[in-house]
Amino acid sequence: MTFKMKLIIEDLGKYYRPERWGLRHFSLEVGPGVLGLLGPNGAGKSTLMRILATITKPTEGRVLLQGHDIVRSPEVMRTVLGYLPQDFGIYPHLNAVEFLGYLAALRGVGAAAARRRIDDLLELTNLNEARRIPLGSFSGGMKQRIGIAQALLNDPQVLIVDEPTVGLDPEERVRFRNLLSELSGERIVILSTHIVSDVEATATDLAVISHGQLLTHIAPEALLPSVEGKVWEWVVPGADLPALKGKYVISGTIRRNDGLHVRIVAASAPHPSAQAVTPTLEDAYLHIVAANRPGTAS
Amino acid sequence: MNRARILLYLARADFLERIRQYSFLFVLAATTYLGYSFYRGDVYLELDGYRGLMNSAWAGGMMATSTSLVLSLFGFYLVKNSIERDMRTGVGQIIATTPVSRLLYLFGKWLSNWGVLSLLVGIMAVTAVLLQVLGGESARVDPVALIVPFLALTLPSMAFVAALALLFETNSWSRGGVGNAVYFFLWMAGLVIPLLLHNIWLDWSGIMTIAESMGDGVRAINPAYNGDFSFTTQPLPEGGLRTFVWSGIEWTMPLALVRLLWMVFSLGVVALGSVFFHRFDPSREKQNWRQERTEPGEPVPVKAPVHGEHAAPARLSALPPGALRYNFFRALGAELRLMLRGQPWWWYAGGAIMLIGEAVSPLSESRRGWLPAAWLWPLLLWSSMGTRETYYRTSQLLFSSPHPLPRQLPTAWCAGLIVTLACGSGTAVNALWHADGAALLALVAGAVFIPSLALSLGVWSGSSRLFEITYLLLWYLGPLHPFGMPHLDFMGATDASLSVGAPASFALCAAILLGAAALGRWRQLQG
Repeated sequence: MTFKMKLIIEDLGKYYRPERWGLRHFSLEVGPGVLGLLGPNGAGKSTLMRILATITKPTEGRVLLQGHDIVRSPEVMRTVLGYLPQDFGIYPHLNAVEFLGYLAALRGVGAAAARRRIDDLLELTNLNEARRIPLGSFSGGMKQRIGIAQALLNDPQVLIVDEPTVGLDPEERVRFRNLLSELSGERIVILSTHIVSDVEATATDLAVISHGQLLTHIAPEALLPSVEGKVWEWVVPGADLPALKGKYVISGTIRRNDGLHVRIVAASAPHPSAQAVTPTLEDAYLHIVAANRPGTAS
Repeated sequence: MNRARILLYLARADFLERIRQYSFLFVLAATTYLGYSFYRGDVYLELDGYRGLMNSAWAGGMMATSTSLVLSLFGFYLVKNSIERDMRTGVGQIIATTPVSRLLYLFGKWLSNWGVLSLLVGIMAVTAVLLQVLGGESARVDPVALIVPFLALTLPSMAFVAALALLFETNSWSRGGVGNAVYFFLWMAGLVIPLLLHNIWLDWSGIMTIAESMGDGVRAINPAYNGDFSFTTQPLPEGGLRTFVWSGIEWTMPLALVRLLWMVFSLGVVALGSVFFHRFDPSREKQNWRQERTEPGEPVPVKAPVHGEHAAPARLSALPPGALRYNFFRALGAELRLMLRGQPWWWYAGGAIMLIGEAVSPLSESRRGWLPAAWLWPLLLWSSMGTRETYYRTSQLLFSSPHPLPRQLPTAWCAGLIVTLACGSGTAVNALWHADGAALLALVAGAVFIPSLALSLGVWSGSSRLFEITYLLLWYLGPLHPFGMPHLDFMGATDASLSVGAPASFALCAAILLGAAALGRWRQLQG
């Protein structure tokens, strides 16, 4: 008999001295699938991830996994958790097999199962060739792949990955996205990123967070109608860009022979010559973040 | 921006970064406590049963000497992290891209080092004033007599220590634990050699200068003065110490020149450091003996993927049922491998020679000579206990694993215990052979104490340095000290330590330290 995983975040808050709430009144219910957590830098994504991974204690609120409060009983989460922090270190004198073996032993993965699992994970992360090379000589991307491998060691039911595609080349990124989609199934996967295309490719659910508060929790495809008819492409001289930035939400620019093609998110056409274009998730994300930032037209 | 301004900003930023850390409050408290110990009479300066009348010269001279003595050791470890901090934080990479020269950078760091030490010297100078005023033996406060010993003796010695700390940091071999241990022995030699050779030009700390001047004062009233000059913590003798009036050092040109030369020499040491300083270029970093053969950052030879291979569907099969079962011994093996990884062949060869020496020597020699040597050998292995997670930034990975406190901490401690027991096993076999149960039990108590101390200090301080200093001091004062301090002999090297019950005390200490380590780790887990 299998139980459907359920994570409930209730009125969560984290206070940082002096006088700053990294997270405040944050509530969310997460079920199986991939939850994409989007937000600008400093929005509170990593704080939330660290609280969910039982690294940081919240100042207020509860997090319930299958009905158990993981703030009071962190082991409930730790026994089913795979966690890839945004910033983590490795032991430079160990090679990939030894490092993963060490973490597998601490996570209670049996010897034979750990050996097979490590082989599978090194294959999966394309590190088989480098399995006996000390981690100290790994590049940033290879180190990131070791991080991904360690998060999957114990076949986690809850997988929390914070900016997992940082440092990966485009092909590795696609491969990792595929893996996340494949893994989700009955698991809870929480993916924190500021790369909207990562979320677009994998997330079944989307949570947008800004200034420590949840702005919306919605299916990615349901977010697009909110910006339907609000995204424009306008060709302007390059010199006009600074002025436009102060006035509109700009989701992209492309320099062409006829001038600068500026993609603008605005309720009405910024200029009669501006053309309405099909919105993307990135447009919708910028729209919702800007709408909740005081003093910005949208 | 002119050079003086750059220098000022370099020194200022480093100085502020240091003194704004909470840990600096602890340093300030420890320094103040040292001054308070003099006031209470817990520590005093004795010259063959005499002490000086508490006038400005004596208060200043005594406090300046004690400051030189204490800060020349602890001050070194305190400030030996300015380059390391820039490396760790990445600020060094930014500085490296600016026009600041290596020499200018190092002078800025030296100024900051010296500034921090001078701040502590200043606290001791204030304590000296209080000591005289509260002592009530001499009402007239002479600011010159009080302050000159600090200015002329302590500050130049601190300048030298600040420069040495920087020099040690510019070399990769001396930056870590090896450098910490080497400095400890250098420091001891540096204090003893000028006295043995009776050469004032070698008196970098200024202690010999003041000892000779005070000794002359005692000799004037007692020609039979035996030359004794010591800081002591023993209870005062019946009736207290006899007093004499010391009115300060009679400064001569050679004496002043010696102090000046040590200041200049300090600048030379900083300049020498600039020869070794690699300016944060990892490719110029010399191979650390604990590092692997592959240079950091060297490209790893990995087969280039066929186009599109990476984007192939990624699949991962589930773990078989029952695969998640914690095994203490497997975790212990992994922890032991992690601890010993990177040790060179000669480390094992040296350990093996000591083991043989321990086993085949007469038991007393094995306990007094071979065992202390063998229990110095794994210093750097012990000092990484409890700090590795912080140093290598793996704490998030470990602390999010199931049961990090009851799983990882005991395995780390057991790994340390195994290394300790292995290094002392020659003496253990010898004691068994001679059926000396007391020596064997003392050894076991020591073996339990060392990893407990390492783990506890590592977890609480987050740095290997505190254990390295504490252990080296204990190691010297306990088993090795020529005048014998049996209460501190944690390995039972002397029979006196057994008779005062030191093994039982250290076993109890081990239990307390282990509890403290668990508490410290629990605190870390609370986030």
